[in-house]
Amino acid sequence: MMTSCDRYRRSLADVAAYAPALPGFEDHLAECESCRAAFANERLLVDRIEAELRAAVDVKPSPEFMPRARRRAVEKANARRPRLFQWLVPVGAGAALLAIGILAGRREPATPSEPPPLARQTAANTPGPPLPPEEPPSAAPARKAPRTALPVAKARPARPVEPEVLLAPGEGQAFLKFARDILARVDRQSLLAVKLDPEDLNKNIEVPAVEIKPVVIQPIPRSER
Amino acid sequence: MSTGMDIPVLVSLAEPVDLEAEFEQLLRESGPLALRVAYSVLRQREDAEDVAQEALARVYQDMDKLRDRERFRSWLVRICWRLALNHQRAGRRRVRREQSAAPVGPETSVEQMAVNNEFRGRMWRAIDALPEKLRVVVILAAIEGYDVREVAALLELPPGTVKSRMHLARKRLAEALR
Repeated sequence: MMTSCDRYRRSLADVAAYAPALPGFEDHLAECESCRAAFANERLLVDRIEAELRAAVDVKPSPEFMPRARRRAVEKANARRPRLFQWLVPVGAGAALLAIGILAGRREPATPSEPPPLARQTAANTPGPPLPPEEPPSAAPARKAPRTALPVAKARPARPVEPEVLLAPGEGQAFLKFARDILARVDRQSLLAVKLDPEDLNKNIEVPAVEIKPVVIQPIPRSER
Repeated sequence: MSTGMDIPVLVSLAEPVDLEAEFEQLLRESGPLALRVAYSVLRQREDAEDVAQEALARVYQDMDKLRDRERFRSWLVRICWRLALNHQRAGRRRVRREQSAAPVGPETSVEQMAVNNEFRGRMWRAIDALPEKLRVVVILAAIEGYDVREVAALLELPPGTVKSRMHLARKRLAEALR
């Protein structure tokens, strides 16, 4: 037969570890010296563990801790900063190559003796070379490419029109395909190359009437990605 | 209706935040917490300072991504705990691990000191043997003065869960040290 001591001894360790006590536990301890002593020992052990642990983890930072932490944080942040803009390299390269391709295609038949093209309108009559493929993420070719690809630019009296294309990371190939498709099926003379200066936003710009043909946007098949 | 095209638009709506000032405040308020968390795992001051500094540097690096500043401390604790465990697993300088920090009371004799050291050694072994979810609770409880709500906030757990884990951890430690 289970005595009251047996009943409460089972939960003694739990209560000593600060778990809620069974109903009547306190009363039993008040009456039973043996259980009271066992509980006191158990509670003493739990309290000692907690006190030891609390003392053990109560370490104070050394005087060098804060300055070092500050220095390290700054170094780490500086080391990381270039990576934040790494995505701009392939995007910039893709945009630059696209611009070169379009310009080269339009300027190929033009000669220095020709009159300058109408403002903001291309003078290309014949198809240009195929667009170059998107460059791998490398900054150097993207910066140098415009100089080597535009040898006639100095001979032209008019300020060259430089289309600017901003692309999100990973969309370079898709945009190149889109541009190739357009160049393959539209009259190049009807193309407009627009460079928008921030100041233009405040001006009333007269835009000539243009016919925009319907454009069908289809997802690129997986095999062509 | 979807047009099939994604147009990336970057809009900055956030108010400018002085990250450096915030980091200074973080260092003052939570630097010691990071150190204690790391120390509780590594028990070696140099390593603990190294890990805590690394955790603080990582927090600084990604601080602008944290929208809810109230979760600063819990974020730091998580990073610090994980880094300390990784450091411990790497086994670096394990032989130099200290058995304990400050003694609880005045140790008048060499015998008493030896007894206390032995107890602390057993205690740490018992703590190391606990499952991680109990270990982190018992250690943070010691750091935070056994305040259940503080520990619950740091671990982003309900206070009831922390309370039951604390009971279980205490019971297991007492069993191991009885």
